[in-house]
Amino acid sequence: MITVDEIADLVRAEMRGKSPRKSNMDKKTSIDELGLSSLQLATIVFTLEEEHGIEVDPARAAGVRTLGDLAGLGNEALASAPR
Amino acid sequence: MGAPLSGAASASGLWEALTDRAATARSALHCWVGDRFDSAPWRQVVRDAQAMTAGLRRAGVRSGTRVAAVLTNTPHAVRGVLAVWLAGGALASLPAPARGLARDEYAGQLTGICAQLGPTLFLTDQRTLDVLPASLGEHVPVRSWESFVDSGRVDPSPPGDDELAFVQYSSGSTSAPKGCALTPRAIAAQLDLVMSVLEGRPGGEVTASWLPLSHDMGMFGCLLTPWAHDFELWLSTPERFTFSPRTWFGDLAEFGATVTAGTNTALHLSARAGRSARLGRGLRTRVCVLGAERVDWDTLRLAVDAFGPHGLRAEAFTPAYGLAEATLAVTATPAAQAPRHLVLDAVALADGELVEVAPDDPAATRVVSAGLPGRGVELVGMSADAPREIQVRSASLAEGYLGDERRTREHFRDGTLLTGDLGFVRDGHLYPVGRVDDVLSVAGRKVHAREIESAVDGLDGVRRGCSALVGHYDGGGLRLTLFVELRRGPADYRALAERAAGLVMARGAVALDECVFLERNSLPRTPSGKIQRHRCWPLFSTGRFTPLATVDLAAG
Repeated sequence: MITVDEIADLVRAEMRGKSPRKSNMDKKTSIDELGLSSLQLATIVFTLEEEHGIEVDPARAAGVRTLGDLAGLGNEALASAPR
Repeated sequence: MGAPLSGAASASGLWEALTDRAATARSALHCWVGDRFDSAPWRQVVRDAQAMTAGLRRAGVRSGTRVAAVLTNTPHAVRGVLAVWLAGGALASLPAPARGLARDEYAGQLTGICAQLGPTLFLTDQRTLDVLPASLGEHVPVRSWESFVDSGRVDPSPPGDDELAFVQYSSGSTSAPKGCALTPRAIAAQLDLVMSVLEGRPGGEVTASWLPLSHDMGMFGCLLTPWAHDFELWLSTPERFTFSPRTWFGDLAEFGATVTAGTNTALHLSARAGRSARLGRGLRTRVCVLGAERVDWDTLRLAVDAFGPHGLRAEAFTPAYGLAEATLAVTATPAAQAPRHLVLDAVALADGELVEVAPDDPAATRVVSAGLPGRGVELVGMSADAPREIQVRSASLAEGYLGDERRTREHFRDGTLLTGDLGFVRDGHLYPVGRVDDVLSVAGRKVHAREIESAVDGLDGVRRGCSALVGHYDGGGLRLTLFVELRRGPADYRALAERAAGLVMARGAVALDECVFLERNSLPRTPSGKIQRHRCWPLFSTGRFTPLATVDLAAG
């Protein structure tokens, strides 16, 4: 199960220790408001994939706006991953 | 080798290739539209573009007018590019909104560009319209590409040989807009050059790309070249790559792509992902052009290790050098050759000397060749023994910077482009090694170090004019380090570093990796007092600074 807290930790790590623009991150936090570069976001997605052995469905990625959406995307991939 | 667009690169050859010849092409364009690829034969793309021209004409687009556009990778934008040209307008490509860039910073960029450009119309896709600053509409009519679909045809009147056809504005931090003004002749020459680098076969290649059309590599290398030469094109998006980095090499395998392009940073990420990739059909990719930033030898090795088992050969990687001022490419590694590199002493290199050392030397840095001059290109005044400013003669040179005569005079002299990049030539190969000025190239974005440093000057405790933002390679791509002299110490170094990192992201949309705090008068300077930015990292990494504190922001 991928949680928003796990993603928030990855965001903090990727933000190079500096505070994200939103200090309290929850499932409704907009990814665009965090101040991440595209490459940082790509690294977060890839780290989730690597750690959970999943591949997110790029066809579902267009609708991802919030940290909750991203967790949902990861969990969908987790549910459909071969066991 | 591909057939040139015409005997000599010309407007008529370019327009014929993009219209009449494409109308008989057998290949198709496949655009990612969020959840699938939307396919249409090139001949349909041409017809759709023609059917947008009457609406554009009614909106004021005709010969001599300029149209501003944020070109996202959508089917409508692709058609819109040709439609604007056929309606007679010159198209100006403005930076796409970069994730992380402050909204007001982006709004300022667009407003500044429009003030200089004087566009008749501002165009983008419907979705991007929502994130554009509302104030833009006060200066220029803002419309979506979609609003011109099936609006009717007018007789084509595209720009002539030496008229303005395209203005490429660079993305990144820049106080003064910098738009490279290109003619159809320059564009046609560039497409010939790219075709010769690819050793492409018209009608016989498959391209897969996610590079943004707002960037020269995306526009000329990955869209117009396939279009003009009847390649199959699978056009993904930067957003899809961001959310699923595996899709780049996944697409290459799935669609049997023979040609692709990307940046060193993206290749590093893909190679990392590629170690666990399942590329069922294997890779047929002959050419993977790497440009927009310095190519890192360790990244190439990582990529060969990751994708070699899937059929990708080292020879496929094609490090290249280019810039928007030359439309796109200047040099490239020949298609059948593996990339080559030299092992040099980094400290000596910073002082302008080329000293080859053993690979295990503590000061060793690997400099990768960007290949040989392309067709119709000449490098002027280069040396084999010392870095010099790379000066270029090419049929693809821009006419200059639109609306900026002073900057044009500084960089375009008697048909020669002074690039501001430093490099040397060995055995005909160009080795780019740095910049004359303060521009850092990060994943295709231009970051002006001096502007970031001016913003850092405003932080409490920082000595005005005493900071240096530098980029360096650590095997995982470019890392950014900020060297700062403090007015007084000690300080809350981490808090200060975090504030500096926030500024760097807001102004340049790039992440700062490290902040090094120094005592007064530590930074190396020229006799006239200018900070020698290029010497900072070699001096630091070889222990010749005594920092007050070093904050590794990447460590969290």
